[in-house]
Amino acid sequence: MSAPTDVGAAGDFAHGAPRVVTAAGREIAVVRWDEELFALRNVCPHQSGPLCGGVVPRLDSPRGGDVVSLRTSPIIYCAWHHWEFDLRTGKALDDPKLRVKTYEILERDGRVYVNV
Amino acid sequence: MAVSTSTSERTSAARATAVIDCGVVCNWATRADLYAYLPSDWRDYVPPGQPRFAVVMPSWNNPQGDWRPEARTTGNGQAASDVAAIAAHALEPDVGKATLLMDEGALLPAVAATYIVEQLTVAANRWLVDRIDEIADNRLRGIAVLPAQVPLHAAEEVRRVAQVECIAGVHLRGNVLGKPFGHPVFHPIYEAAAEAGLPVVIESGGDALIDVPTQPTAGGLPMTYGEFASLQACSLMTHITSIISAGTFKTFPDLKIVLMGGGAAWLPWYLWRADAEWKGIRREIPWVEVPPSEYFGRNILVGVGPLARGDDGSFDLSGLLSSIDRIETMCCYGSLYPRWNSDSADAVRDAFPASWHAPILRENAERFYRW
Repeated sequence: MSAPTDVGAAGDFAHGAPRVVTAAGREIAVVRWDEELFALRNVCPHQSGPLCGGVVPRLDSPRGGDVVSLRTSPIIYCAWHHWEFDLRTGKALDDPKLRVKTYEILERDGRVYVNV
Repeated sequence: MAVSTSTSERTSAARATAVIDCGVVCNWATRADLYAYLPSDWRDYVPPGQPRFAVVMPSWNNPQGDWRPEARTTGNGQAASDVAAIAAHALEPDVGKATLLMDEGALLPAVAATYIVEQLTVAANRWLVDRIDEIADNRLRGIAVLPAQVPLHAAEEVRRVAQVECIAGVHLRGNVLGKPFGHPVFHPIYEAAAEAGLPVVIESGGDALIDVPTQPTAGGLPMTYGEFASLQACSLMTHITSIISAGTFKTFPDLKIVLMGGGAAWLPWYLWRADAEWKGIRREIPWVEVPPSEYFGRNILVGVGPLARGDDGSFDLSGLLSSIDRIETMCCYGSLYPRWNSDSADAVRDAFPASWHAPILRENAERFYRW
């Protein structure tokens, strides 16, 4: 297995703002959500659009018209048709069989590394 | 050795395969018929010589008439007002159950004269129950109309008719509030209907009336009856999309809706489109937790009439509908007799493969209505 790729300074990744980096020839969407970092392949399985349209909390709803924001459960949505994927698992919210590749990511000595 | 079959066994077997007709249509002969059912104070308020309160005429008229010849206007009564004759025709031997809908009655909620029409709506339900009692055929049930101008009062009427044994569902048609039926203003009706186990029958045509601020079609009013008839499904699509999007089935998971009068040929395109859009913009409606198509068959039934098919075989309706998985669980049969475009059960059998006959002609209605 190749060594993790240095994709930038830790300060370059702001909360909730996906940033596209390149590692081992692949476009990777890197997202910081609070203190956590996530890395996913930046290709939507629907029509291969750029996955990093935005990152938002998952919503739950006890009844029609009411919303509960699940802050600790972020999702990323594709820029093209807004299909949504769980940031931790890469699984599509409407169809868990549909999945985006996720990668190991770590922060060390002020730098961020992705293991592709 | 031949096995003898008892009469009761034969009857049970016949009922097990009998058709359920979810849409026989009737009218009172004249509005004066309802006066007997009004509280006396309200009878004094609007004497019989003043019919203005219930003028619910659409702009267009079917050039060949809206009714089968045997049900057209005779004497002083309006069309489809010989309820006993209509029931006798509809309750053929192979019909196990049938529901009686009121034609003009379902349009009463489209009249802006709210207070008197609320009273008339309740009177209409009492009139219907008396007609069913007179016919005295326990296969026949009624669909009650609702004073939907004031949904809280409509919910009270749902709870009242829920106590009447021969009422199998409630009817939502006239749309004087001018809002799609998923709007939360209608939720008291759905809450009461779900509690009572009564399906809400939404029939097209209630957006095409003088006092109603909505229109039956998008883009402007049709100029001919043919345009109006061709586009009957439009308002049903609007209402059911609204009901799904508002999370009505999340809030009232036991609610049952039956869509009548627009046929079923619109379903393949609609379900594909609705599911596709839901995937992309589900965040806007997080209370809709499953694709819209999943509510069809579970909370929603669609009457297949009027059937859309070419008599020359040029339009393969069953082929079109086959493109949707489990479509036979989403549809039911309502003859709409004696309307001009009513369909027989045989026409449904001809239109669809044999494996669909039992669910469409009987089973789906059996599990949706309160029998």
